[in-house]
Amino acid sequence: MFDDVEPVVSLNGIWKSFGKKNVLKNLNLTVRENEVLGLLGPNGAGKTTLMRIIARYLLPDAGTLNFRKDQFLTEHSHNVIGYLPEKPPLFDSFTVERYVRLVAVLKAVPQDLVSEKVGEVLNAFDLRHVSRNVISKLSKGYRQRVGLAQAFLGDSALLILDEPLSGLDPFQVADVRDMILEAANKRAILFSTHVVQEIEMLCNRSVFLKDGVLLEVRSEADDSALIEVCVGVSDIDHLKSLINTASGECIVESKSIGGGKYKLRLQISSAQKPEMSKLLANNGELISFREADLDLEARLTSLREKAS
Amino acid sequence: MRNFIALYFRELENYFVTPIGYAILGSFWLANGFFFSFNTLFISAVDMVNAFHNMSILLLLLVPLMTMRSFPEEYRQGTYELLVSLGVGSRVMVMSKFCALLTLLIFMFSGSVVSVLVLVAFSEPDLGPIVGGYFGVTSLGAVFIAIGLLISVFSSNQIVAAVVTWIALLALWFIDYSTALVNSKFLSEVLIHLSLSVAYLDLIRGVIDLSVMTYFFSLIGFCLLAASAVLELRK
Repeated sequence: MFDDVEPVVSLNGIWKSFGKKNVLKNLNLTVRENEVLGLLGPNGAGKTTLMRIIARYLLPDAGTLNFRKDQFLTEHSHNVIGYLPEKPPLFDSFTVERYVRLVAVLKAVPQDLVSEKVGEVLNAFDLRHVSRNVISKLSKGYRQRVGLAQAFLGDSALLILDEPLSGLDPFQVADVRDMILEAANKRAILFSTHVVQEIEMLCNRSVFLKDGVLLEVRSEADDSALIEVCVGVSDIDHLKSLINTASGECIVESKSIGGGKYKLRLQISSAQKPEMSKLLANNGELISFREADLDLEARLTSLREKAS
Repeated sequence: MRNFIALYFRELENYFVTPIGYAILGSFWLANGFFFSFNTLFISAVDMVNAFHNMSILLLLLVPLMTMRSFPEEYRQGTYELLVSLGVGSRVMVMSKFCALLTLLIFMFSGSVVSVLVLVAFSEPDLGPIVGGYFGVTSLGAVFIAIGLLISVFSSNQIVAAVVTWIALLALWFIDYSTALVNSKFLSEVLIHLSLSVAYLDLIRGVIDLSVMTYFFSLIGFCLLAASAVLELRK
């Protein structure tokens, strides 16, 4: 779906190490317009480092980071990114409105639009009633909302959100989810989280980072299916070779359940399903043929096992 | 330029939305007033030489308190990360902080003009050396600020930044004392020229020595450029 859209940002062969530890290893990634890309991974996998490199807070040791040219060359180039780090970056002694105004100036929002844009995000994140409060006196949830407000401010083409929903109450979580989905209509969004359900609800695509290596978990264009088959056959090895010849190395699991019956799990494309069922029926007794309901969490578990 | 102006005013505002700015200004004005009264009433001095000397001692104590928050606070709040992601350059960050602190310093000294007005009202002081002395003490303060900023770039802890700045300033202030420990005449002269207290002696008498000013401005330039370079290296 997104392959024909020019990337807002693309990373090629990114390496980053701290001391002797390689945090990112030859990492390639593109984020495209209208795409919400979820970044998953265990603690210490390199998610924050990756986001910091895209936010230009860190420089990679090797590799290139390219922003879409029409934005990168614009006069207001630092307006390209809206960034919410894991800990909201707030000037504690300022009031909420003063802080958001300052960020608007630093984001090169035109002077005559500053009040309008600031008003928009204060309303959007329900901050109007605390706009004159000093940030240091705000609760954790409000601080997170102020952090989100500064990230969404302006017309940034790319939003980088490091665990944006943490610290929010359930109602705010729903609101912010809606805002992220709305923002994705005109921007690219990269966000990290530990909550798989958030990825399922928000993302078109998700990637899993483990020990500095990036693995694709799910893409919207991905039409592969996991098929669970129960088949009776006298020579399972012959059947396996026929399956592999027809659809490549697609057998994920093979288990004997006794009486000459076997349970197979096959990873094939949706288009291959009719052909595969025909092949199994012609070469054995096809007892059942059904698509397994594999959710994102299961995919992640399988990826983690594969990565280990 | 827009970023510089925005951050310069943010820095200034930061000192006056918290008690820090008021505490520094209040303590400076109070101590300065006390020393001036002592000099005029008990020593009957009708110049500002002693006052400028006392100001330099106060600066030694207060400047580390002014600079200690500069970068450690940005690191703690995560705002340094935000500023970098917004494309604010390290030189803009350093210069905006330096200029804001210098403005605060000039504001501090402006309070001591009351002392000059008292002198003018009750005697006939030579105003030339007084103006020169103000230039000198401001230059010295700028050197202290630049050193304090450079040290604060390295630290994520305010207390550590303040203590190390005190140590660095005291070392540069008293470095000429160490001539007693070295045999080389050349080295002794180098140490004397590096000493801020020796260089400052002429300035508080209103004598603007080009070599001293070159030394001061080189030191300021070095510290500010080094601070920017260190910030770049953090990436």
